[in-house]
Amino acid sequence: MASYMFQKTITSICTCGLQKLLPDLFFCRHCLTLRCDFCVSHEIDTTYCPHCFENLSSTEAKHKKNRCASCLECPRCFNTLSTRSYSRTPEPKKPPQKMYYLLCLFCNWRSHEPSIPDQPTSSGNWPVNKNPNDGRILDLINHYKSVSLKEVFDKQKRNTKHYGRNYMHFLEKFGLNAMMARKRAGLPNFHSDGTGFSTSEISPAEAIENVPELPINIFEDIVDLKQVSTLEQRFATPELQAENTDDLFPIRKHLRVKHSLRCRVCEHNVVKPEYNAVKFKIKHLAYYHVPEIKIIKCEPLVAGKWSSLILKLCNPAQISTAVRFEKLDLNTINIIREPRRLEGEDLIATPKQLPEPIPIVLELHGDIMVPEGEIKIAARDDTAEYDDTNEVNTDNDDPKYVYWRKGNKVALKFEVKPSENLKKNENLQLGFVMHFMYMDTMLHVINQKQPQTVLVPINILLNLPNSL
Amino acid sequence: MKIDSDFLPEKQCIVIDIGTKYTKFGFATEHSPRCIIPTCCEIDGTPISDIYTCKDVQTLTLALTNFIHMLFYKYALVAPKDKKVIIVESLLSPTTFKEILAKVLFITYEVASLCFVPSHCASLFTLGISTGLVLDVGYKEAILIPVCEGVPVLRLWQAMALAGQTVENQIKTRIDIGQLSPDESIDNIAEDIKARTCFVTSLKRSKILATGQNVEPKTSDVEYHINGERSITISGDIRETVHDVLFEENIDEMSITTMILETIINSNVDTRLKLAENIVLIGGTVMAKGFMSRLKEELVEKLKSPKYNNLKITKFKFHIAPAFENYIAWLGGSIFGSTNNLNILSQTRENYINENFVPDWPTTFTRQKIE
Ligand SMILES: Nc1ncnc2c1ncn2[C@@H]1O[C@H](COP(=O)(O)OP(=O)(O)O)[C@@H](O)[C@H]1O
Repeated sequence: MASYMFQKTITSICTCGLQKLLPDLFFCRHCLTLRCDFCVSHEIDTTYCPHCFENLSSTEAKHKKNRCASCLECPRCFNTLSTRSYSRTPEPKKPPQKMYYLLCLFCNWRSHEPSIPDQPTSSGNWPVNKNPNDGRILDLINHYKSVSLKEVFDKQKRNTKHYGRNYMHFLEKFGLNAMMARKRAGLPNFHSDGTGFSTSEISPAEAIENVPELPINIFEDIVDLKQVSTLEQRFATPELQAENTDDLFPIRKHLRVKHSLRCRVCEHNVVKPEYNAVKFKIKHLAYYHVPEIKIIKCEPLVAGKWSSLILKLCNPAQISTAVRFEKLDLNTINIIREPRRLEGEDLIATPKQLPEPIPIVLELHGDIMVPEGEIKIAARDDTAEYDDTNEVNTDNDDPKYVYWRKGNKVALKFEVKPSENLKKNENLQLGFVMHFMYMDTMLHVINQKQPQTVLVPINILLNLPNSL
Repeated sequence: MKIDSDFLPEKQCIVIDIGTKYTKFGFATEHSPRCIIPTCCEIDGTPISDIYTCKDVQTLTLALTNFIHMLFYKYALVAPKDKKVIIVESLLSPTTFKEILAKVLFITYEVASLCFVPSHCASLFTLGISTGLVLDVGYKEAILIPVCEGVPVLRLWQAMALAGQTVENQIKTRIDIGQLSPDESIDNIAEDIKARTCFVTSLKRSKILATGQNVEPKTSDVEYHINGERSITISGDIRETVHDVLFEENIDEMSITTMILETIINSNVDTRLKLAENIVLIGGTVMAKGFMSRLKEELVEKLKSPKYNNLKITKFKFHIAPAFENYIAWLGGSIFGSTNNLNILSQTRENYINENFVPDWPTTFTRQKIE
């Protein structure tokens, strides 16, 4: 069912220039134009664990290094681990004790294989692996921190000479808060004349001449590949990179985020998820506004000959709309992109620089004849399906173009002519512009006004499979 | 009142080392990267396996945009807006790549500041030394740049296409992997064989094996299963000699060994000894077992040749960093990011937008300090 949506037979060109399928597009109701993944800015709304669905605040997530506290992953195949228990009688007379271990149901990895002892609680205080070099790296960081602070300090000292001893000025520049924080942390203060300022000394690393040799048994030992971890398994914990699969540790599940999307131009939200639910507060998908186009019939394509193509348009909105078609003009396609706005909409100046639009490079392989005039499409009405009497007024339709209509759907006749030199098995690429009527029903807080209607042009590309 | 950046938790700094094969990614002041992931991304469903080979600006922009998006929203879980970013990069990485990366980060993702840190210099931060001969053997190239008192001596750089990829190509030609089904990739299999079964043998054994003789003890063969179905045998000889290609001299008499010696011979007489006794190996390929000892043997052996025997060097010393070799450069970036120098040497977004240009070198020349 979903796969028909992913066929790239009919694509729309987004305002930024990428070709996208309709379900992948958003419709910014303020800029009145299409936006896609690429041309909206993403913000992080909530962080959650993909396994237990617990929501974490961003500070919490940061503190836990973006890992879930309770869910663990198999270090061998990266599936979620389950906790298993068994009873153990430590001494004959005492009651049996429950012990827990971790098991991967996919690859049968068990936590007691390596050096992880079984735990008496189900939540398990599963040991966290420690970087053996932590101490040394911390020393290095502190050393370089103090070196760079000293540089700043020395510079300040040079500068302050000219101003005399302006105490306040000095503090301001150096960062009063650094001093206060040091005091609070119980560290000695910097001496204001810099004499007592010492950089934390470290011993520079010593190079060695006797470098580690190959182990003697490396040649003859039989390699059991099951025991040698893959690079992927090693890189899952960069600080350990265990080469033996027995040394692998369970990995805490990495968190994921819910995004909210914002139009880069007008800075309004196009998608905003609801906290703690699989719902959305705002969801301006193009799919809810732009008439969807599907191919229902196409006569066999013959190079240089016109054949008819029937497209079905379906209006997803609760308001009736109208469409008008135009041929795609390749010469102007790159000229106007950022569209206008609704009348009375307060223009937000865009002081920031936006990413450059992507130039559209297209090649059309033939000619297309689009229906003329305006074609109305009724609003979507979910009850209409059960109502046989619901007759649509077809009086104004030109039978030359309108094939049939039913409810919020209309089938339209197009004519396509592949160019003479169309190669075999090459998809026939054709394009047209669809202008659809968009009625703005948003409540405008600032200036109350009547809903306005606007014609929104959208560039549609057809990629017809061609089996001449 | 101004608040010192040390105490403001929001000012997170992100450190990225975009390698030709693996990208290391994490937060400054942390002791290891959060993730090491393949440098690849998708554009509209088509996978781009190597971002560095994207030639035209459009594809590269899209590829980098998608890649950075993935890093931030899948791994860092922070929005890039108003964050500080450190890019650890090779001094030889192409300017267009740098420019496009800066544009994507500043304009599309609106980062607050950006600092390009040369990987060779950053690596020395992990050792607490300021002079060293840094050799980076990654996936595509081996790049050698000596660093003296924290300054890279660009005049003496050496680069050769001798790295992980060369070794994998050896595996592909010497082992008959056979027909693969479409969802298997020969590159992945070759890399897996390399990382899990191969090692760098000693010079003595390599010399014997090169003449076609047998050595004692003989290296055992390995049964390797492809996709759990077929199995191929990887002979012991191949396991120990695939890395030899890195030490074989090409027609210009150049190999990883001679790269080091050439650099030493061309450097200032006063620094020669210091460089030879401060060799720093970084990059994933040097993690192959036995690489360091083989390199040392090769260097000592080569020193006897007439070309180099007037070098008054008798021994070579190697540094071992408190990190795995494949993320030493990243760790250097992370240590750099914890210092105040970051604020002094970064380019701010305002500066980028006004000047519309990325400096070749981290300087304070065109910028104001970030508050
Ligand atoms: N632990 C390891 N053992 C053996 N080889 C490794 C290891 N880690 C990485 N490599 C190899 O190192 C190469 C990548 O090194 P890296 O320094 O990440 O390169 P780059 O920075 O150019 O992407 C790859 O060819 C990979 O196979």
